[in-house]
Amino acid sequence: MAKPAPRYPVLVIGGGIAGITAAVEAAECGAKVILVEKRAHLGGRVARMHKYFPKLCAPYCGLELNYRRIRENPDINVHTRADVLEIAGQYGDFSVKVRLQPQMVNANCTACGKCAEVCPVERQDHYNYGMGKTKAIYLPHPMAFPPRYNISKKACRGKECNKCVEVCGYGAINLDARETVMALKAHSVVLATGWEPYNGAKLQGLSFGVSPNVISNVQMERLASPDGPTKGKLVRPSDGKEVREVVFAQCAGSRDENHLPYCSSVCCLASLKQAAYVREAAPDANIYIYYIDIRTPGKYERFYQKIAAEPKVTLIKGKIAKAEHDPETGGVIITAEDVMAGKKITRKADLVILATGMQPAARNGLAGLKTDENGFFVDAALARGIYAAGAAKLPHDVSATIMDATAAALKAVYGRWP
Amino acid sequence: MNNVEYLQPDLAFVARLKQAGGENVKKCFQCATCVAVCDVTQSDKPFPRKEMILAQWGLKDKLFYNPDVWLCHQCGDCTAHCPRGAKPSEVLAAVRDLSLAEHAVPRFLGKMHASPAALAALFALPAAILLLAAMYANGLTIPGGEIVYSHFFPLKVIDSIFIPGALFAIITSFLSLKKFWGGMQRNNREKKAPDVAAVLGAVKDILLHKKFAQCRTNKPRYTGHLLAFFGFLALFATTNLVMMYHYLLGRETPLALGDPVKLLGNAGAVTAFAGVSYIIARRLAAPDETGKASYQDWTFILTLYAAIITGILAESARLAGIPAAAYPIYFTHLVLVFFLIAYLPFSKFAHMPYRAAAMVYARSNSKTN
Repeated sequence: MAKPAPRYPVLVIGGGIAGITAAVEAAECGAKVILVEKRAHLGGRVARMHKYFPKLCAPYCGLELNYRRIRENPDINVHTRADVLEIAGQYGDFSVKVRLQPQMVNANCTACGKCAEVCPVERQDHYNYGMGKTKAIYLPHPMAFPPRYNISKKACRGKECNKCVEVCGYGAINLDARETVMALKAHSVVLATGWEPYNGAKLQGLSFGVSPNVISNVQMERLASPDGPTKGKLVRPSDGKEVREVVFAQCAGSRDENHLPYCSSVCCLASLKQAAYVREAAPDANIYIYYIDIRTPGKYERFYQKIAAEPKVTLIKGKIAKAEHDPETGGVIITAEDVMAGKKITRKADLVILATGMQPAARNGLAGLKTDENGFFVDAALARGIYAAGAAKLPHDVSATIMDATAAALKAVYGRWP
Repeated sequence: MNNVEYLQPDLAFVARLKQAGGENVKKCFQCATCVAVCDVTQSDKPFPRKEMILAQWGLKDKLFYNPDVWLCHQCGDCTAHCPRGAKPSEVLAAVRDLSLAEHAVPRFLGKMHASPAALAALFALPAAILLLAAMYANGLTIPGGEIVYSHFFPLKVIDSIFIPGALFAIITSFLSLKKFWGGMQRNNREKKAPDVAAVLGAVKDILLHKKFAQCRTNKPRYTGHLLAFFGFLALFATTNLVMMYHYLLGRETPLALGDPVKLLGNAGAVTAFAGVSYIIARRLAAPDETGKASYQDWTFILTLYAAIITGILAESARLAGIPAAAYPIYFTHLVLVFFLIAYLPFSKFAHMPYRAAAMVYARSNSKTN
């Protein structure tokens, strides 16, 4: 194992849990690392989770440890608001071009928040999946890393407003900042570009985007989270009424050749986990999970058994193919077959959570690198020295992603074992 | 353990079903999207999800003697939404196609109708009978003077062929339906006879095309089928009224163009022509929405279409005074009509009695229907 450390740094693309893990592991093996994240902050999808399954602990615990490992390791160089334009060369000697979006808020920022107080513009809160608003200058959440405000270029009125610049006591804001392109050399590349939730609006007949009470599972994470739009209170999005009937619709887009032909592998566990959120936040609510098959492989079987045994939780075999706004109650009426009972049923619900699947974020390729027909990177089809990790490669849960990213980091530092 | 039911999968049946148009049956993974999107199914023991697994397992009798297979109107909503491309509506259509031969009494006529090789023989029978009859009646010479079809085929000759043909259809329909009905009772362990309310309800649904109206993917078929159905009904009534004219009032054909019965016949012909034209156009233009047409589908649709067209042409040729065209067209028309009527319980035309029987059965035996 006494291989020398690589001459050039390992380039990790994506600052979610896969990229963070790969960066930290590679650096702790002695390699230099450049971590590139297209958004303003690290943490990716995982930072927006309320809890992990099966332990039901908050992701921030693990993220904080990782942020610290990044902060304390001089060999890790983080670039946020940056995306990779070009990867040329070969294993051991890649030439990479990285575009740095205008860094309108620099490292002087202390996240004091005065800028947001004076900012007159509001924008959709993307961090909370469109539920709620932030100012044009915002910190997505109190634990954001790097702890630095970000400006939405689309929403910001620029210099004619200039209020944030005037109020900032640290000279951290520069509305004139320009985009730059950085050229760098890399020993190897880890693709940790992650996933996006499948767009529920594409699911015909499920009223996503039509009824506010039909939400996606990622939105449910934010609704349950204490730093989410409702501060963790589980209420009906349309009118803030308490929820009494909660329905989970599994395979919303997954295992469907009209949408995502593959199983997203985590949605069953995610819904079971979210059923636990409902049990905690609204103990009187009835919870129904409509599924094709409950897929909780290996050790997760126990988590499934635990949640299925909870009072108020009912699992029903049969996919929901219709969810309609109920003008009478303001809720949602779902239609499905209860397969085991052999009955076609409708049910009135206050909240319907679509277990939308995972779609690779870089499904259209990245810097000339090609994906498979479903948008995933396949190691065998990539050049030597380029390795995919986590959900860029396959739908993964967090713990599998961490293992996969660690493996990718080792390959990136030491090369593929012969 | 006294309710143990032993299933007997019939793999040869699965292979036959795949050949008959249900080739995607094994793709189904029982998610039940089909039931949720189907607006035609009843809520209790809904279709077509359960039919899909019965078909995958080769449980032939549970499919052949199952009213739900016929309650399906092949709207195609299930197929449009199926996440696996298993095409439930086409699997059920294939089951119905195979059912025709299964229930047929006598069996060989059902088999002949399922086989393209036997088509010529099926047409040859009425053609030969009618030729012999014409030979006997007038030596097969085209009569001179004004065109009067009864000079070529006297009415008593026609009736002596078509009345036995119709009776044959009625008797064999009854026997085939009896087999079907008995099988449904056996499968469901129900012995109820059809009640009047169920019959009236089914007739109302059929006349109003209620089930067709609930289809979404293949919605335009509502119009096509409605026109074809009522056009055919008007033509059928015309035939019977002409018989009454002859036997009760002594009034002979051809009827004057202003005669109410003539008006009814002509209106029926135009309506049926429009309906069947539309059905054919839709099948050609939007096969994804109408579903794949089988050999049985096309045989029936095209025979019906040809019968309507030759009927219209026969009348036109008569009015135009072209005997050399009129009599052969009339002869062809009669062959086609005989094929439609006498073979009714064996061709796709049998969807009428089977679907009607299934609708009555479901209404008699299920509270939710």
